[in-house]
Amino acid sequence: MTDGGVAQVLLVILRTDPGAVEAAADDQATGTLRIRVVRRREAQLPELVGPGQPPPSGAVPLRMESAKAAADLIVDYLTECGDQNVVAVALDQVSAFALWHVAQELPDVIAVSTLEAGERIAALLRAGRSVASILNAPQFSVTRVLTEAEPGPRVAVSTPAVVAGDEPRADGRWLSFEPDGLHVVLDAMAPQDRAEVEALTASASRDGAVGDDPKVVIGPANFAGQGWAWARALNAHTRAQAVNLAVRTDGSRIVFRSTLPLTVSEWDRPAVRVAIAADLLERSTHVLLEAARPLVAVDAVAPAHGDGAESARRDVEALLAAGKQVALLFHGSEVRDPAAHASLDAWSPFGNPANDGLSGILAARVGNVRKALLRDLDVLRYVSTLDLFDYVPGAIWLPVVVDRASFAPTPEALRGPIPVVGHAPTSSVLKGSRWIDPVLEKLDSEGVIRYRRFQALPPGAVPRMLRDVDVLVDQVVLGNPGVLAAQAMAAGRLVVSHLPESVRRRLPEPIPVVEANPSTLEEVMRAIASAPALYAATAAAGRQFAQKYHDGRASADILAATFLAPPAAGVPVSAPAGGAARW
Amino acid sequence: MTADLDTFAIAVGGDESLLTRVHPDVRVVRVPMSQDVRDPVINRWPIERAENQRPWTQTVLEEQAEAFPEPVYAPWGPRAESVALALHAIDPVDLTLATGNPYVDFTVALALHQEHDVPFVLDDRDSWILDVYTGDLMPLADRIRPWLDYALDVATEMWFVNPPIADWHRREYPQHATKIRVVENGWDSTFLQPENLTAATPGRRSLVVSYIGTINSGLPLEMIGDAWRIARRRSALFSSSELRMVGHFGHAGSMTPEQVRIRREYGPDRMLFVGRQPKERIAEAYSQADVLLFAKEGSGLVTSGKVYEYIATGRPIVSALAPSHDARRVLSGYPRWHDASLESGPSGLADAMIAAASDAVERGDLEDAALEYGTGFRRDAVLARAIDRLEQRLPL
Repeated sequence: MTDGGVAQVLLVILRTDPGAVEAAADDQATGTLRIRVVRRREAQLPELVGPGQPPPSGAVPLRMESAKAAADLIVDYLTECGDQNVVAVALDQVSAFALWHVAQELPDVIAVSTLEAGERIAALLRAGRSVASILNAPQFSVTRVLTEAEPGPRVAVSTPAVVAGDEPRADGRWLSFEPDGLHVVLDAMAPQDRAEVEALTASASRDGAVGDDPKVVIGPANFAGQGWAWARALNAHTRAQAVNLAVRTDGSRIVFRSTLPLTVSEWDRPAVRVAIAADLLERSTHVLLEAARPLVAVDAVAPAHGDGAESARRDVEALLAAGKQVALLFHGSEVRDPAAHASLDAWSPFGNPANDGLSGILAARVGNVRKALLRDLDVLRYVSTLDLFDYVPGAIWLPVVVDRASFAPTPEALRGPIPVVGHAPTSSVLKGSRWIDPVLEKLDSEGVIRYRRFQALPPGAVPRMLRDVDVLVDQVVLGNPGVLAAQAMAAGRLVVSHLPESVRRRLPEPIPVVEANPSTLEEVMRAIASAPALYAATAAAGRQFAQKYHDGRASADILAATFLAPPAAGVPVSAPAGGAARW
Repeated sequence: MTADLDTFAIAVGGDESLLTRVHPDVRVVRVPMSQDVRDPVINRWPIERAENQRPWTQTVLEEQAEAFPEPVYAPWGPRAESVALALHAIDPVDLTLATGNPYVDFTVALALHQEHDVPFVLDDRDSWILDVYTGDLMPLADRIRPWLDYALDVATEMWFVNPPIADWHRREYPQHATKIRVVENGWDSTFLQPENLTAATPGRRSLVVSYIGTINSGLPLEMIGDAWRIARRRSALFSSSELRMVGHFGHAGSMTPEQVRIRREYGPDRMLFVGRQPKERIAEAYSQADVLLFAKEGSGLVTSGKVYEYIATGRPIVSALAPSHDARRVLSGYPRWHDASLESGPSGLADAMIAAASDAVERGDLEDAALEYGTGFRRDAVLARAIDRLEQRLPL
């Protein structure tokens, strides 16, 4: 495909409307062919009109339903063009769809949607760039980016061994961790996916040992940025090297920091998951799997969305079989059974018939999670909030970690004449905002408080928001002490929230959160407003509480003691059953 | 820190001639950008996009804006933050200078500040929240404002390209007025050495009038063509002259149907579209021009970067601008400026062209004064002043 050292490239420009015949003066010199696929008005099937040929009389533009038939004609035409690089340009919508089909049949044809992009790519090919390198960009990797930039001392980078083949496995998995590397089954992959994976495997070499410190991977949920925060805590306070992976659903309104950020669309691609397995999991010693979600879905090359508990189970089994230490981390809705919650708490949002739809969806998910991960899987289980002991037997509390900015010195709360009260729900239903807003708005209108409602704040702006309020009303229906409450405590703000006694008793000391539910909120707020000095000590106690449990050291210590330490002989991997906090 | 080369080589195009000019002390860290709606490679499209591009694109853009109020660019933020923090662990960052657009760059500065107290400067070459062409708030202003509020709160300084935009932000954020600075674009002496430009030859009758810059759909191209036609009828100075339009078409580099029509219409009048000139060779385009045509859409909040290059050349400049256009502030001290407001239409512009052409032929004596005026806006001088001020604020 080269001519005197320069790669030959054919630029094929496609239209699917009759229009005027056009040709640029330099078409022959630049290897450009302009073709059309049109349909005669009376005909059923389209026909291809070659370069320089006028369209047949009575020709009409193609419609989308003819795109596949057009693609068949184009495939035949391009096959006859001989052995050269082809860049095909779609000048209209139907052409684009037709060329999409062409790319499935002829994966080495580069199909593009603008003439300018086609010209750029043709130039790259002529300059010696390969088709594969244009079609399959390397997966995002922090290590690769920094290696290419070469800051600081030179870092050795190895490419993990990946073995790809077509033979399906008896266990149905498309990805497995084997002694000689990752095994990938290419059968059943779409052509583009296959090409991407093959491009990944093309440079295989086994890497050597990289030290004895635990290598921890946390993922893939990263709710409230906690995967990142726990990883950071481990890195700061233990010998472990921890990273987190975050797969965020499309349309997430708040994005939290992570070591390897991915959208679910990216994660869907098999090559991305092979890269996760190769770059992160293969090298890991410990994997903390969050929220009953799969990390790579070893059982499904095209995973279904919504409920991945079964896939998560297969991932856990595969990692255990590969010699990794694996633990589960539960955040909330994946294990909090709505019916059970409603029976435990009179104010549960799941007792409200208006939320029956949501309750049904969550209940189904919880059922699948229990079946897949909680019944007969002997691994450590962590929960991020104390209320979840009711749903995860034998769990260990892994406290949420708040950022250091939350601990920055702030003016003392409740010193002004009128308390400033904030409410910042990420989910109005689960926080009980329908109860909170009317009460706080009413009190604001009476001049008892000043009410500030926050939504969609950048995560980094939350400490600043908290600095400007005296009181945070977190939630009044769910009964869980979440990340925002911990941040508010760290900032020395008074937290008002619903925490049942059963949850409060799980720690040896009082939790400095003022109790309120929908029926008591107004009374509580009036009491605070009328005697703020009485509550200032509670606000100050919140800072000490947050320093003890939520600045990262406690979480790092718990993981070090329970997960990273080798299991003692005779001690089962699972923590003792019971509802008390283990810490 | 910037995007990967394939973002430019494949997706959006770019002027790679500048890459060889990057100072060897500057290490470039390239973080790959997922192209999503900008990906022209159909092989990689999901079938949903291939079947129905517009709704797919709309959905993706809306989802991206949910995460960060800047669709198309939003997905780059989490990756860039991750790389920046890893980089800081290897080679600690002392100062972050984040230039928008794209404004996702600001998130990297915020991340380094949040995690490691690295001070930062927000360098806004446009305006994130304000539509500088209309003076209205951007459609996503409600989503942008919490980010901008927070970023300004913790930034060391925020720079804007001209006094009107800076003043708007000082009025919006009086508590941060002293952080808000004007740092004009200026012109880059790396690519343009006025002393090396071919001297204009007064007396020559075959003049070249050049527009040098991006040819956007907002450029009054037809008015310019009409004015040129009128000027050629009115003045023998233009009898064998050319009007050259030197520049890239829009963002993607392709002509609109209207631009194609205009090219065809005014071609016989010697209005020539010569295409893009790489930045590295931009001096050639200026050398070949006897008169420079400056036309830019926008009004009081818009200056444009190109006006600084123009005044660096010492050439006569004819302009077609709205009365309140901020470029007038820059041009007002230039001794070879021949102004036509947009309201004066093609006839007024034609008269200004004739005046500029006469200047080119008869007033070479003005060149030194014009060059001296332009020197004050040289970019290294502009930046040196900005850096001096910044150093006083920073504990570096």
